[in-house]
Amino acid sequence: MSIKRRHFVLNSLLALSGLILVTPIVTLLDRFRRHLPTTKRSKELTLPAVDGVHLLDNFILVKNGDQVRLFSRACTHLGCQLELDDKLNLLCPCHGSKFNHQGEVERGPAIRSLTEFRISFSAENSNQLVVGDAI
Amino acid sequence: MRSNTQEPSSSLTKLFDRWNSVLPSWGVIALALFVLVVISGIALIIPYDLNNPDDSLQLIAIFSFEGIFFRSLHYWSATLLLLTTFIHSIEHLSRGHDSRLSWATWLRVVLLILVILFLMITGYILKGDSEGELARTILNGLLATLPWLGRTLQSLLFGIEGYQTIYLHHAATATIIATIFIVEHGRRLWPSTKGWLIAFFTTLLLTLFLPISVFVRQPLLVKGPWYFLGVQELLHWARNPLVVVIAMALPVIILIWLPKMEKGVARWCKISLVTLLPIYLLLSGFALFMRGDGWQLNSFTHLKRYQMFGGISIYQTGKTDRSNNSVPVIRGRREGCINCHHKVTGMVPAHNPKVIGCASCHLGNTLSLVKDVAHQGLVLIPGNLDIAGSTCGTTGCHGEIVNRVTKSLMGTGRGIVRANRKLFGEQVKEHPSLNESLSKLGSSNADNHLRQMCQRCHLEYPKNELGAIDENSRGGGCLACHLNYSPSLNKNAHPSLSIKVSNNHCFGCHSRSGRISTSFEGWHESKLEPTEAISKSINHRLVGKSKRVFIKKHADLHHQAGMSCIDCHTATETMGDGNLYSHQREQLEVACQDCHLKGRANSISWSELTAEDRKILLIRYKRELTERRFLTTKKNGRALINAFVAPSREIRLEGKISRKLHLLKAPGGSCQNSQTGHAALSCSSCHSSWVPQCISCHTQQDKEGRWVEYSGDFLAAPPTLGVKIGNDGLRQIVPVAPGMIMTLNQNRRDLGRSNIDNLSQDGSFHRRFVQVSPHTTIKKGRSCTSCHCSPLALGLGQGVLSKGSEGEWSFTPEYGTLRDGLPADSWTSLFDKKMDDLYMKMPLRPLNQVEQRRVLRYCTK
Ligand code: FES
Repeated sequence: MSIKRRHFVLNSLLALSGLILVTPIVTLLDRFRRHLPTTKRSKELTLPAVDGVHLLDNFILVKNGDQVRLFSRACTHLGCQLELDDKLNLLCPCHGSKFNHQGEVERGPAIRSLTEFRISFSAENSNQLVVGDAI
Repeated sequence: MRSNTQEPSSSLTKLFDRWNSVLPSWGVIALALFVLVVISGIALIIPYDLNNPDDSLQLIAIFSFEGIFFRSLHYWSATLLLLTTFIHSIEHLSRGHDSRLSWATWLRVVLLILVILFLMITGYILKGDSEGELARTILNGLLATLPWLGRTLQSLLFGIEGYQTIYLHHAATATIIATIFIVEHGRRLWPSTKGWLIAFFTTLLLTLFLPISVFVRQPLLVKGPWYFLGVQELLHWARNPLVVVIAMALPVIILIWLPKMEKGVARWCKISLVTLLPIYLLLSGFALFMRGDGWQLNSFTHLKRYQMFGGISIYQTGKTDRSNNSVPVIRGRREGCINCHHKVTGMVPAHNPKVIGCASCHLGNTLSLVKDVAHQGLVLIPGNLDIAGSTCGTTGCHGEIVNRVTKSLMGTGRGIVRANRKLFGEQVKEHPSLNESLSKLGSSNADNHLRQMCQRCHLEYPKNELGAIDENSRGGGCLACHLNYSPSLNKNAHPSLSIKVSNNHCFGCHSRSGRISTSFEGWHESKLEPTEAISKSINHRLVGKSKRVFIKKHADLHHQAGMSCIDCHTATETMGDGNLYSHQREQLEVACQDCHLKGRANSISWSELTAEDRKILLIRYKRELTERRFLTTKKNGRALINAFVAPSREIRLEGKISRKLHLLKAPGGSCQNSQTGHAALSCSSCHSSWVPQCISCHTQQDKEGRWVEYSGDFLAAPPTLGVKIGNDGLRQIVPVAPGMIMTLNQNRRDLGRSNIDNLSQDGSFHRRFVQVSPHTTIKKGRSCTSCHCSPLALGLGQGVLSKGSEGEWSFTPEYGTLRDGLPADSWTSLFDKKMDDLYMKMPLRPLNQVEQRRVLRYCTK
């Protein structure tokens, strides 16, 4: 009994010291990661001529006349790239989430709506979209 | 350490004992496999390009026999290693080794399993194709669910972009760790000879007979490696991916803790772990076999597309010149087809093989320069609808249209199927379904009849031979309308697939039954024998292989003006709009009044056109037609892309192929302000010169179940007038012709001995008139007498209509009566209350007594 108790105390102490050691290491690594410069994705897109849903690289562009909305193409479940099926549904090939053209979830497993980006038009060329921050 | 004699699965232990008495232990086999993995991995360092992994694997497949061999060896030894590791672990558990080893040693054993899994999955990602990339995305997504640690682990384990991190771990870190653990655990570096032999020969056999090719991913589906399938299925179900992470971590934690547990608990835990395994396998099987596009239930159908094994023949890399690695990249993949077929010409710019390659349409194996290998899975005629989903309709091409066509009336022949089943007295559901198709017929009498008489006239019917579309062509999916052979006899000339849909494309099917194509061009089918037709006479035309004889009649005004079928008929009308219709009239959208406008035009601008309409116009004109306002249909507001209000305010129609401009005239004065009583007349009831009419026929099944048709006379006469009551209750006078005046005998008969008259005595009798669009438009409407004094117009049939001295009308029919007491070509009889009652509730009916009298009142012969 007493041996068991001593074991328990010893083990707990060991675990605690491990945690104390690991925490600064992980935090350090995390800071390291954050402070490295990351490669920026292309932030300019050409506005398609026709209405409808367009997959442009990492973005989904929904154009309806003058109305243009830009979403991230990453599924909000685990991040796979969405695709368009022949009925123009936005489908995730990985686990089958489905989104509508407003970026809302129509079928799970995803729960959150797609990330939407602010957009502005380039000053020189009105067909050139500049991708802003996420909304 | 506890002593352990009685372990849970003693029967399992016995099984392992039996194995070990003959064959080397699983651990030794696993060790041999590990050595094989390392050796083959080292060989792969040479051709593998870290900066462009996917491409380097494609080049291996095209050029390097050795590359394919070592890749396959690497794959199979690793796969077998994972399997043997699992079996070896189960053996350990069943023998209770967990409780004999020190906890630290046991911990390293469990870690070893994890490291092997890590090696497997990083190898999968290192393929560098989009599937590998998505596997990394999913794993990183799972790591991201871990608070605080997740992001750091992502960059440490898998990296976010590029393959440097993963390559380093795969080839160095993890491999070294695994080697150390294995050596420590097995206390040897070199397996026994027996172990070697088993591992080597199993791997070699698999490598030789199931070599690994480069996988082509389906855009809408990603499954991942086989050992990951169960996790994928769980991820599909779980609302929160963290649950899955915990579910995966739990067995590992239990394993680690096993030696520390009480004996009873440990036993219970082991049993649950071992039972979880088949459950996981079941889940994986479900994911593999039952999941289709968008992870939806779709049993087996996609499996043939989910190929990763190229078959033994891919080893033939032939004597291909390895220094010449200029195989072009097409749509993101190496495609060797053009290396041989570079001389092919004739495609329209959108289908330029330099841009879309050959395989976009013809499939086949693009990663080979050896003819027989490259042509595996080749589709010679890609436009047929059974394959069009992966060819013409593949993602990024015409998927949406192919989908519509497969639902359309022309695609399925659904209208014919339904009408025929009704005629045969079979049950027809109220709402149309996708299964009502000429290519999905059953074995009933009605369906057999369709199969023999009608099946070829729908788009799902495949085109099986090369060659241009002509009078004899039927079916052929997309090709039926879009295939155009060039007149050039050059052997490298490829037919083009274009939007130039000529009248000839329609002719094969539409010169039959309603015979719209022939009527439009002014030809009427006769019962003359080919030999009776005066050869080279401009008044006769022989059609098709069976040489049906047609006689010259009045051609449609629009034909005379040089218009073709597609100048009026729209894309959604012909290829469908995605809805299931059961009748042609529902799918049709154009009407005369859409172009021949009374009053102001309904029109829309360039920017209001649909994307598809604009695309077609851009192909035709190569510029945006912003100066035009396009007319729209009254029925559904869809655009008529070739009819428009020009800047000069003139309303014009431009020939889609001819580019000829036509002025669209408003209806004549008498149509615009119609005389009393004529307001309900449809345009075609006056402006049709004739319509082919077939009176009395008999359809009979012979002794062998073959269907035979005996036809009566074919007439070319002005249409009868009928009253159509629309859904809105509005009454319209429309042209009508006999749809069927026939007897149908479903009983099998020996046709050699009995004569036709007797045959038509039994069986069912049908008399049905239908609304028609004669397509024999004339400029000047019918004369007054052609309606007001004509028994045919009134629906009485041919004969003499005369007025007695008392002023009372009488009719003497030309044809004798049939089983229902009416003359062969009649729809109704004169001033007959019985007929009024018979037709009262029908949406299309002949003129009733009152209407007949009213019409005849104005007969001034
Ligand atoms: S990543 Fe989209 S459904 Fe899982």
